[in-house]
Amino acid sequence: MSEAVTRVRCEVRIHGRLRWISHLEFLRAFTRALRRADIPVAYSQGYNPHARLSFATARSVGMASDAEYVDVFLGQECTGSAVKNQLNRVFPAGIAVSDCRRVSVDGPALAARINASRYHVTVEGVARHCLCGAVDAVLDAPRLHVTRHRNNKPDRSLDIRPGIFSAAVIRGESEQLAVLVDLALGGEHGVRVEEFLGILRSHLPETEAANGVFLPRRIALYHRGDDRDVSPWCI
Amino acid sequence: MWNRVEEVLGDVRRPSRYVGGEVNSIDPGQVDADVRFALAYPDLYEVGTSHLGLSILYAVINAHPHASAERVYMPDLDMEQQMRERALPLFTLESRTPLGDFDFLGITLQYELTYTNIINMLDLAGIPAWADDRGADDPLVIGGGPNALNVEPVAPFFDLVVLGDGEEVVLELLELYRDPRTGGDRKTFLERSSDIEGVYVPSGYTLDPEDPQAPPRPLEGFPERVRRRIVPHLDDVPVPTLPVLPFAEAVHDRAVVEVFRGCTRGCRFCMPGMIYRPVRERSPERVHGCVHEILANTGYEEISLVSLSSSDYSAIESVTTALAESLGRQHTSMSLPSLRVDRFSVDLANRVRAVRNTGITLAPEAGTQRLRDVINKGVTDEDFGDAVRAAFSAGCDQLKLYFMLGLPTEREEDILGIAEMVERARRIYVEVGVGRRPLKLNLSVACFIPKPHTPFQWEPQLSIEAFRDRISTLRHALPRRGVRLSYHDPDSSRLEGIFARGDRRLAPMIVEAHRRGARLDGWTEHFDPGVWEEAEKACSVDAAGYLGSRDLASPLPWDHLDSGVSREFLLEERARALAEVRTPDCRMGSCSACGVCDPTLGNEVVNPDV
Repeated sequence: MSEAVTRVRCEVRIHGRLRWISHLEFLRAFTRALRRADIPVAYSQGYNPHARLSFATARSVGMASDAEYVDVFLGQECTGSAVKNQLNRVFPAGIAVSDCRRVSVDGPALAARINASRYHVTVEGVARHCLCGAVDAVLDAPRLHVTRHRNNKPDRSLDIRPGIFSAAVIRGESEQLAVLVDLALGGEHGVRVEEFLGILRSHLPETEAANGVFLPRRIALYHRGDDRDVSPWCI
Repeated sequence: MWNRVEEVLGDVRRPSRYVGGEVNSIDPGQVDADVRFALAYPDLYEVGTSHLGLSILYAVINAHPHASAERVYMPDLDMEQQMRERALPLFTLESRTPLGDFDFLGITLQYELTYTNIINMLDLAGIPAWADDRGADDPLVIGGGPNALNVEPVAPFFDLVVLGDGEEVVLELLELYRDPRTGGDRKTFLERSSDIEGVYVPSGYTLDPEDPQAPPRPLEGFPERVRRRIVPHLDDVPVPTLPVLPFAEAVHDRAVVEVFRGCTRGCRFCMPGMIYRPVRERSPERVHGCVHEILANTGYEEISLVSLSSSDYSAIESVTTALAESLGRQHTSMSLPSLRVDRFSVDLANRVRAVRNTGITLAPEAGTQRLRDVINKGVTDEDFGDAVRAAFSAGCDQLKLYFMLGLPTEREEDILGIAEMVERARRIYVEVGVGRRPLKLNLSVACFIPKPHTPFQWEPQLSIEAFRDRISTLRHALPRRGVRLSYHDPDSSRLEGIFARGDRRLAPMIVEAHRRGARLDGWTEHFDPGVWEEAEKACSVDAAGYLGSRDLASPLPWDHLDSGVSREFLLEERARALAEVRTPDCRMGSCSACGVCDPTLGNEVVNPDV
């Protein structure tokens, strides 16, 4: 059960109260779910063998997601749907595999290829025209500076405008106002959704900025190429 | 309620501690209970979720068709601030019900320095701290755990306290509560519950103002002494094989199976070794089955076979050998905490790969044979040498040693003896570990705290200054390099000592310290001796009186709480200690007449071969 013969890619949803678990806690919960579900996970060689998994990216605490991706290396052949069904039987309410497919065992790691993320941000307490105005203003700005705090290092000022690929106001289910935004992930221009929302808030009129409630949910991770976007299933 | 909780979660550290929803936690939507328990561990989530006792009670209560149990832990300071600012009452994780809405609130008494957390949790829940101030709408607050055997400093905060094993008592209390003749009225319920063996109702006892150091006297209808409850056979009580799997990393992040309860080694400083007698072993078949069940239900990577001294379990070799084989295939490791200091134990640990070859922890407790005889720690110099040699031969290059300073009769040579044992371990390492990297040796020293119900309950505790002097003597005797010395904060040991042998007069000081901001006192970063000093002054507490030696002829504040171990035995053991005479383990030698066993109860040991 040590040599990996295949790899499955799981698309995982985290929602409800479990959005408050951290990335590290999710990682541990996922590893233990694999063990409870008796999935034949491949183990690394060496003195302290560990289950071979790889996560596409981290998620910030408190953010719900429809699009977390975990690659699991298996020591035995297993179909994606079997892994999905077995895992969903043992996950607590709030974590679920929405899709699981086999991918090439020696293909690239998701983390190395994923460079963009899409968020659906529900907005409450802000009038539609104000929200549209703020989104337009953000997109029109040539530069958008944010300050990043770093552990044991001085704060750093950064222009996040190049990392904002697109943003649009939409009306979701039940006339709920929302912003759909695509941001760079990782690398030189990576933007956190909280940073984008901070900038957006600063472009709103004062009262709306104070009262507005923004609830982001990650809805997609993908590779943004020069000519086209590539979904995690095709990486 | 939940919306109000969610509003603050973005502003607190590790919010997963407050959301519940863990694997194996109960789904309150599925439960229709007439009696609801909230089980509280008065410390942070990471500590509380690791506690076996509450996990057992959670399983026992939730298995009852008409009862449910939910969990609650002490919120961290940032969460507490948010809750106070928004007037959010302390709630359980499962259904987010404020604690005030439960029938029972059970609080475990594991450690003296969690006492202000109890006040804080009651306060956050809006429940009056003093049992006398509670009314018909408030939950019944129950205490239990090792410190129930001297609950006096916190007794006025509890409606009732369970002494000893709680598995059966909790169900009996539940039935009494469901009975309309007794459950309807708080006073009647409390009176009747004192008929249950193991139940102590503090309000049924009053302190004699003329003689405050004597135990409180019973009012009419309450027994003179409350006897500890003992489950005679461990196989008769449930094992929590569906333990809640915490999200945040727990301090003990592993599955646990209790292999036996009680210990008769008879270490004279050890309270658990006295108050959990006799030894009751779980059958190897049961242990084996439970290990596999728990692993399948949790996915833990490690299983710990726990007890007060796991290498003493009669079937330890056969059980670990059988388990090692199957667990290895599942990439699961095994650990045996509280290893005896001898070759057998270390070899055993190595064989089951319970030590990740990197490090091993041993607790010789005292630096000379003489002092180890005084405390009846049956470890010889030879045992110690063999144990470290076995560990080093197996590839171990980190050694952690635990000692105590301030034990009765301790002399300078005993302190220097610790340094000699350190030297000896280093010499053995050089002999065995030729060419390996240097040994990492951590030396951890605690201040001896005389505990109630032990042969040393009459002995004085070292002053802070004397402890510092002895630490300094030890430090100078240690080699300059290659040994890391760490020791318990003497201020917190002093406070622990005051409570350990305290009485009811200390309760106002706890409330006062809490009012002045004391909480999470068990955490070095939060413990503030200054606050306690002020509280002591404000309540005119005679700390020296609590820490000093006690008169052998006078009654003690916990004399009405009967562990089963007799006063005569404790006095006899004290005399033997001062005469440097050891008392053999009654499992191997003859009965030492501690008083616990009777015709229906005794040490229950299993066949060593499965």
